[in-house]
Amino acid sequence: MIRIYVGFLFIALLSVGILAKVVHTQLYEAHELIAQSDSTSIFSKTIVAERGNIYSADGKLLATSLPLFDVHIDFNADGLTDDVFTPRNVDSVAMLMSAKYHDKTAADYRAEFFKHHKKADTYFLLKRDISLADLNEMKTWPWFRLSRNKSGLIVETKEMRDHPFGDIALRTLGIDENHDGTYSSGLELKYDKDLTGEAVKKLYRKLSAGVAKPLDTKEESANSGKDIYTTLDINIQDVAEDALRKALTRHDAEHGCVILMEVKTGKIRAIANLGKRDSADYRELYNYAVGEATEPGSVMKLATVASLMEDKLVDKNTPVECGNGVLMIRGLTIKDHEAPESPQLTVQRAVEVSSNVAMAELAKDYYIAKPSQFYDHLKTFGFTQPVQIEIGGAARPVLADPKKWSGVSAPFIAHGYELQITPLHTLQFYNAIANNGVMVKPTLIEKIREYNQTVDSPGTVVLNDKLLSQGTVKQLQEILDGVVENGTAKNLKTTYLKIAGKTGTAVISNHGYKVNKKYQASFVGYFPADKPEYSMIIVVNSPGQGGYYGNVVAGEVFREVADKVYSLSLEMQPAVNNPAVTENDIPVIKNAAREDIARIYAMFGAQAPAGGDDWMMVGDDHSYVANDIKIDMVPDVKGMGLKDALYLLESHGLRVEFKGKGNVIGQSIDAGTKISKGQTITLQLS
Amino acid sequence: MKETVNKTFEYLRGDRIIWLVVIVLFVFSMLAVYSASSSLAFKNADGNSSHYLYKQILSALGGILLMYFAHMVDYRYFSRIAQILWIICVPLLLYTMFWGTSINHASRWIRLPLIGWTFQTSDLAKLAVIMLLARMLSKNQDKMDDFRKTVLPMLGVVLVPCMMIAKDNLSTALILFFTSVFILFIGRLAIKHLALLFAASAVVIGLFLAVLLLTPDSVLAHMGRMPTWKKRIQTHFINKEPNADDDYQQRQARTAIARGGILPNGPGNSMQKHFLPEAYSDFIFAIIIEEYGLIGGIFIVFIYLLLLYRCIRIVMDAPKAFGAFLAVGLGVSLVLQAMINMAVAVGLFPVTGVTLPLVSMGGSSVVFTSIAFGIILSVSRNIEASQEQEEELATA
Repeated sequence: MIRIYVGFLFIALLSVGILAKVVHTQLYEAHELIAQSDSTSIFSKTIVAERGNIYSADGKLLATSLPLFDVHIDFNADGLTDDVFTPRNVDSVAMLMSAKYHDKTAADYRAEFFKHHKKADTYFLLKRDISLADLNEMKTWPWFRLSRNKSGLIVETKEMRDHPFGDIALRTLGIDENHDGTYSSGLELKYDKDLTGEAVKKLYRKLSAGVAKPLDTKEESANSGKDIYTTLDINIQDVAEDALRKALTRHDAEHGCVILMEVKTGKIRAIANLGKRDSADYRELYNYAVGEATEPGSVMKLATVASLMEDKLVDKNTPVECGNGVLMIRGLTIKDHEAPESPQLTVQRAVEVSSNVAMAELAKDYYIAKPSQFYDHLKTFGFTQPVQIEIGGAARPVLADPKKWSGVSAPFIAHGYELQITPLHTLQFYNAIANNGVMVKPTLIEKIREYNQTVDSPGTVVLNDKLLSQGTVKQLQEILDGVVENGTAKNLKTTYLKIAGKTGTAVISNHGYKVNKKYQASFVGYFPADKPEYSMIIVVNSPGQGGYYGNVVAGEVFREVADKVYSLSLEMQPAVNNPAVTENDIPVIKNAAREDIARIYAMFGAQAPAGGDDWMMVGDDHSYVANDIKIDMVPDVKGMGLKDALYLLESHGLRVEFKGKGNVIGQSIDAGTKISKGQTITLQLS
Repeated sequence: MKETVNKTFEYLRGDRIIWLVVIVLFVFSMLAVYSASSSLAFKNADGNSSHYLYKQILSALGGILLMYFAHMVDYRYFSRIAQILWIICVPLLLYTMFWGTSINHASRWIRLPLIGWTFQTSDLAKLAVIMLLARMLSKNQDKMDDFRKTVLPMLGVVLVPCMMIAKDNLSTALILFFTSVFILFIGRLAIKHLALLFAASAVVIGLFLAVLLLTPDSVLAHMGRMPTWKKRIQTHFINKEPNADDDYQQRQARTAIARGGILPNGPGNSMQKHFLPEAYSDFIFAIIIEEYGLIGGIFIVFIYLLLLYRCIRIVMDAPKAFGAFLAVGLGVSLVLQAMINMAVAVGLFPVTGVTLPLVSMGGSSVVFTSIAFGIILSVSRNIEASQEQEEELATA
C-alpha cells in the first residue's frame, strides 16, 4: 500500500511544481513578458483625414477627393484552400476580369492565377486604380465574395483628386501631378495644410491575421480638411476659358491668359491659362497670369501718363510733339505703328492712338534727368514687387534700380519696355483706375470653411486707398473711354455695353528680338465704362496668324467675355420698368403652406393674408381660409404644387402616384377620408 | 434541487465524485474552448465562434454517452477485451507506421474505413497496454519475483507498442512507457527489477541523446522526425534559441500566465489566445490561467488530483483485484497526461503535443479518454455493488 502513496505523492509533487512555476512566472517574469508582448503586438496607425474640397464662389465643386483602390491577392491566405481555389472558380473570375477590363484574355488571367497560386505569392497585383463601384462589383464574384481571409483579396485605398469641371482653372487650383498626394502649384499647394486636415495616430492591438482592434475605445476620428471656397464664378470662368481657347486657336498662338476681377472687391471671378505644348489642343499648362513676367508694351502708357499727371507735369490736353512718328534717341530708333495724324497730339490723343514716340518724348523731357521720380511712381503702382495672391509662383517683376538706368531707360519704360511685369500687375493697376484710385488686393479666396462653419473669410484688402488723385483718375478714365470710342480699340465699341481699356502690342524677346519677331497682344480694361463692375486683362502670346494687334487678338476676347458676363449679370443692366405692385396684383395661390404664402407676399412688399393654420387655401369668395389638415384623414391637396402635395401626403403615410404636370387638379381619394397606412393615392396634375 | 441531483445520479452508477470531475472538466472545456477557438473560428468558420463551441458540446455529450455505456459493462469483461485489443493494436500500429496519414512528417493517424473517422492509433495502444498490464499484474501478484515468467512478458507488452509508436511520436511513447513503469511500481514490481529497468532506460536514452546531438543536421534531415526532436531538446535544455517555434509557443503561453494574475479576469478576456498557436488544445491550461487566474489553475490541478485520489480509493477497497489495477492504471495514465500537459503549458517540460484530458478541444482523443473514464467508473460501480451485496449478506 505504501507504494500507492509514494505514487500519489510523486504526482502531487509534480502538480506543486507546475503551480510553483506559474507563481514564479507571475511574480518574476510577468513584467518583461507582457512588455515584450505589447511591443510586438501593439502598433500605431496614422489615420489620414479626408482632404478638403475646393469650391467655386457659388458652391460648385471644383476639386474633390475620390477613393481609388488597388487590389492584390494573397494566394497564401489561410482560408484560400483547394475548396475555394477550384478550377471552376478560377475560370469564372478569369472570365469576369477579362470581360470587365479587356486588358488580358481569360486564358491569360487563368494561367496567371495558377502560376502565382503555385508560387504561393502573397501580394499578386490583380488590378490598380479601380473605383468603388468596380470594387463592389468585384466583391460579388465567385471566391472574391468570401471573407477577406478566404478570398485573399487585399484592398488598398488611395485618394485621387477629381475635378468635376474638368480642366477649368486647373493651374490655379493646383495639380497632383504624380498622383501621390503632393501638389506642386496653385491653391492646393498654398492651402495644403488647411486642406489636409489633421492626421490622427491611433494605437491598435494586432489580433488574428489581418485583424486589429483599437486600444482606446474613445471615438477620435481625424480632423477632416477644411473646405476652400474660391472667388471663382464657374459660369464666368467657363465663358472666359472658352473665349480664350477660341482666340488662341484662331490665331494659332502659343499661349494666353484671362483674368477677370471684381472692381470693388478685388475678387477674381475667372482666371484661365491656356498653352500649347507639342499637341494641337490648348490646356492649362502654366499659370501665365500670375507667373509669367513679360514686357507689357503699350498698356504701360497709362502708367506713364498717370505718373506725369500725379507730378502735375501734364494734363490730358497737354500737347506733345511726335513729328513723323520716328524718334532717334542716343542711336536707338523708336517708331509708331503708323505715322501720327498730326505732328502734335494731346496727351489723351497720344494714348488713344498709342503713340510710342509721344510717350518717349514725354519721358525724355521730364524723367531722364530724374529717373527715381518715375521709378517711385512705378513702385507705388506695384510694378516692383510680386503681386500678393493666394497661390504660389507669383513672378517678381524686372525693373532696374533708377541709379542704373541708362539715358534711354525712361523713354523705353514709358512705352512698355525695359521692364517685365505679369498680367496680374497690369490688371491690379487698371483696376485701381476703375475703382476711382483705390487699389485693392486681388484675391482668390472667398472663405474657408470647416465642418460647415466659416473659419476665415479674408474679405477685401485695400492696398492703397489713394493711389491716384481724383483729378488724375477722372482724366485717365476719359482717356480709356477714348481708346475705345475713337482710338486703337474702336473695333470693340458697341451701343449696349460701354467698355474702357487699353490695347497693347508688344514685341517680345522670347525667340530673339530682331530675327523672328514675336508679339504679345493684350487688352486691359473695365466695364461698364461709366459704372465699372469688372476689370479684365487678356494676354495672347505669339499669335501666328490673323494679325497680332492687341485690339483684334486680345480685344475681341475681351469683348466676348464682357458681353457674356454682362448678359449674365442682371444687376448690371438698367431696369426696364419698375411699377409698384399692390396686393391685388399678386396671383391667387390656390393651396399652399402659410409660410410660403407669407414669403411671396413679403416679396411683393404686401401684407400677408390673415389666418392661423399651417396650410391655407382659397375659399369660394377668393379669400384665404385654413386648409384643415387632420392627422388621420386624407388632406385636400387640390390646387397645390406637386412638391407640397407629395410632402403632405407622404407625411401622412400615403404612397403617391401622379399623372401629368402642373398643379393638382384631382385626387383619387377624397379629402377627409380616413387613411389606412400604405394606401396609394393617385394625383391628376393639370 | 438536491433531489433532482440525486435522481440524475440514480441512473449513473459508480463513483459520484468521478462523475463530478467529468462534469467540471467538461464545463471548463466549453468555456476555454469557446474563448480560445475564436481565432480559429475567424480562419475557418467565417468568424462564427459558436461553431467550435457546438462541436465541443457535441463531443462532450458523445463522451458522456460513451462513458455511460462503458461503465454499464461489467469490468471483468475488460480482462479478455484487453488481450484482444492488444493483439489488434500491434498490426494497426505497424499499419500506421507505414501507411498512416502524415502530419508534419509524423505518421500518427489512420482513417477508419467506411466511417471515415481518423484516430491516433497510439491512443488505442495506450488503452490496450494499460488494460493488459492490469490483467497480468492481477494474475501474477503471487509470483512478482519471477523475472522470466512475469516481468519479461509484461515488459514485452509495454515495449513492443512503445517502440512502434516512438518512431513518429516519441513523447507519447515515452509517456506510455513511463506510465507503465509507474503502474508496475504500484503493482509491486520488485525493487531490484525496477532499478534494473531504470538503469537500462537510462543507458538507452543516453545513447539515443548522444547519437541525436552528435549526428550532423544534414544527416538527420533524412531521418523522419529526428531533426524535430533535436530542435526541441536543444531549445528547451541547451541553448534557448529565441525564435524557435516551440519557444515562441511557450513564451506566448508564459505571457498568458503572466497576464492572468492571481484572481480571475473573466471568461473570454484572454489576449494571448490571438498569438498562441494551439491555444485551444495543447496550451489551453495557459489560457485558463489567463482568464481564471492562479485560482483557476489551482482548481484544475486539484480536480485531477481528486480524480487520482478517487482511483486510489478503489484500490484500497480491492487491493489485489484486476479491477483495482485497471482503475488505478487508467487513472494514473489520465492524470499523468494532464500533469505533463500542464507542465508543458507553464514551460516546465519541452513541447510534446499532449492534450489536457477532457478539456482540450479535439475529437478523437475524447473517445479514448471517455472510454478510460467509463472503465474506471465500471470498476467503481461493481465494487459498490459487491459492497452492497456484502452488506446485505452481513445484515441477513
